[in-house]
Amino acid sequence: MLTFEEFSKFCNVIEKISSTLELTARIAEFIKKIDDDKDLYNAVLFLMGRIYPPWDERELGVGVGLIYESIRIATGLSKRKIEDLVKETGDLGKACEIALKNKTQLTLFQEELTLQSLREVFDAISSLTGEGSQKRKIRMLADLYISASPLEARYLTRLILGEMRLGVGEGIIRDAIAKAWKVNVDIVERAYMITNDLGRVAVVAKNEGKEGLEKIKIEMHIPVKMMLAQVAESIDEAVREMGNVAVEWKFDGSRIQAHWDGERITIYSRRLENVTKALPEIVDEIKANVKKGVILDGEVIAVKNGKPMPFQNVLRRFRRKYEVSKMMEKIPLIVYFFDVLYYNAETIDLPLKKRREILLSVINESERIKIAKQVITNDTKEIERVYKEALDAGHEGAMLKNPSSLYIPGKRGKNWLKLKAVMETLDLIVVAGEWGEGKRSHLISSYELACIDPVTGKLQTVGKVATGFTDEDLEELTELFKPLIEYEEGKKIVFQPKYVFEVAYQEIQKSPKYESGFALRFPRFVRLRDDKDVDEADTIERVAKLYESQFKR
Amino acid sequence: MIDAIVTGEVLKAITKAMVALVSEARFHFLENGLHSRAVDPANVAMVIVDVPTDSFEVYKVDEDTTIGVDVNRIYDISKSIKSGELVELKVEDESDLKIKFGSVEYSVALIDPSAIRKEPKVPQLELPAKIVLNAGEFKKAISAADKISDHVVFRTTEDGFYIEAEGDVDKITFFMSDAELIEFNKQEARSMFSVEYLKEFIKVAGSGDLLTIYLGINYPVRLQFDVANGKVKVEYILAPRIEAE
Repeated sequence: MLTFEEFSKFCNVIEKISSTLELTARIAEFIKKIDDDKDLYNAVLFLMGRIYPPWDERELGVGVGLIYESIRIATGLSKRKIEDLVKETGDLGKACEIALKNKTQLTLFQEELTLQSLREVFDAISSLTGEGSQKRKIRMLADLYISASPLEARYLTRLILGEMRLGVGEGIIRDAIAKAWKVNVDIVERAYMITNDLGRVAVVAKNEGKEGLEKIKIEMHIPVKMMLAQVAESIDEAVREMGNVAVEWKFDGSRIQAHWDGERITIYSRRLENVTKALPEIVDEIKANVKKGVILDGEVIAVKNGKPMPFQNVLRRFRRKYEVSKMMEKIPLIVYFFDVLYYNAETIDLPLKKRREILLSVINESERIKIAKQVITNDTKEIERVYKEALDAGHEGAMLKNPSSLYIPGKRGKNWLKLKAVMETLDLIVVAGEWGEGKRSHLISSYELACIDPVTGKLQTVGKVATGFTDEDLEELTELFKPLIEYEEGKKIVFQPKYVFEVAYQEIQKSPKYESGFALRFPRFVRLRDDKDVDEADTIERVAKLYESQFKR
Repeated sequence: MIDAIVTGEVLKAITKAMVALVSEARFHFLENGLHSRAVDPANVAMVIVDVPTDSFEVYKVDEDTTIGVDVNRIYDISKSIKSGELVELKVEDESDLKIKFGSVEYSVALIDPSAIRKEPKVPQLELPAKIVLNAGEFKKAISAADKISDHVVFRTTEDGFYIEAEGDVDKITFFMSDAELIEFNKQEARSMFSVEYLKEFIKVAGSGDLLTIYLGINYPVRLQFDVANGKVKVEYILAPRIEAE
């Protein structure tokens, strides 16, 4: 059994490595030596700071406050003292490490922590709900900290917060799995896109190698990464590339994937979060109008009086856990399905034309369930017409798809193009904020944003946004961000990175002020991209590319 | 089904001993008497309480039974009972404990024992020094130490037993010679402990009670109190502190 001490020591070694190649090699070497399947699964997820795959409904529900309290019990240090340590180190993990190091009181009992014993505690914590659950979570966490060595405490804390600070992203883990068991990276990638669980991919790679990975098929109720679209350079270019183009509206809504097996429906958001409970009316209509044994890809939009409501409303519905029915009246939803990934068997390896036929055959359109209209044409004027039509109807633009293309999960390629009118915005991660002044002193009124280095997963700041918010936005965002506060320093607040903002700006400048080396000029908040994960935010490369492109105009 | 009668001081001693470390505990009513033990949330100290059947006026237990109790609650109730007054403890179903004395009857809701933190095993400790003394003397020493420091050193030499505390400017030494101690095996030992915990422990003892200490070298200490006229045995095991530099 792999002990958490061994795991933590390994983390401590790789935390100091910045070369991607070396990181990959070290991780490959480490995971290759793990015999036990459970240990391998846990190690792979834990290295990425994950306890469950993203689509798993379970979550710890442990915020910064509970960690403070558990550390207080385990070490006897006051909350003030722990907060001071966090400010000093800028890292709750390091603070916990120091807190344990300074402990002068020995304990009567300590248990050796293993990856499997941690998993058991995490499962117990995530199953707790209702009255008294906070207290019991604190109790269980305190027991972990009592048994942890200082180094273990550093990584335990970071693991709980989902932020290992190792510079290890999905890409590195994927490459390490490929390297460890000598399998082509593309095969590992495909298995990952279908299962969305690198832990499982690693276990299959270890036990069954390449053949095992190739045999992995799409399964009901396990979400598949969605195929994504690139920005179309022009309509002419698209027609030149594809010949015939399948043109659909690009809806101003939120992507969903619905799994319907005849008994149970599961609906996943673009981030592959389970949003089934938030969409009861959609569930009912799928049951009544869709043939069983399918996985559908579509877009949910909010419609009032026949007009689409802003996309934010759909996200508001997704987030809603209580009083769903009240929200159903306020924000009525419609789904437009445009693809099918599964009908009694995988359909992703069929061309879009074929999939479209299946799609038409499995859905009975109803009040809320629609099939997105599609026109196949090579006439640029016709494409232009559909595009205008979508814009006039209040949507974002048009999708141009290659009718003979396969559905490649997670791929953002040339076979799907999006035609949009709006200018380029950036999707950036909120890493810090500041309390407002005067009558806004109870609100977080400015947010510091970062882009991501996709290889290492490191976040690099690019600027602060303080305009573009309505008062209502600020109220809502303050509530959303409060539980993510890691520590405060004067008016400044540092957040656990979790949410992505879409921001507009006038210009990108070079600047030494921020870690990325770039700064946004006149940034303006557009919306909360609740449908995007931190690792889907815009990359430092994209920022650099946009910076360069400013000179070409 | 439990039906037992004890004096007020026994009930008070049992609950007072427990509240020093926890707010909830499991009480085991066994063939040979009542047993309870618990560890504080930080795993630093353990309390073990034993009340043999002889210490009860009446002790009727159909079979070994475990109940979960809110010890704070019962301690509060026990404060209003006179020392010599008889109290009847009754559990008929699993849901509540009836506490009856004089013309008063309390019905206290029980806690599901499985919801209370798991009790650890009593650790096996090899402790060389054994000291028996009057608990009242010990109380005085700890109260004095508390005024100047948050930790104390317990030390034995051939000559006797030392309790030493050092503050920023003050220092206090408590010493009892071999002759003054009730029993002493003359073994050498030394360990440092938190006053915060000791302060809570001494509350259970009266000035005439007997205290047996088992001490090691940088090792946990066992403090055995015989309280309520010897009717209740209370033992605390406390982990040491590391001596700084």
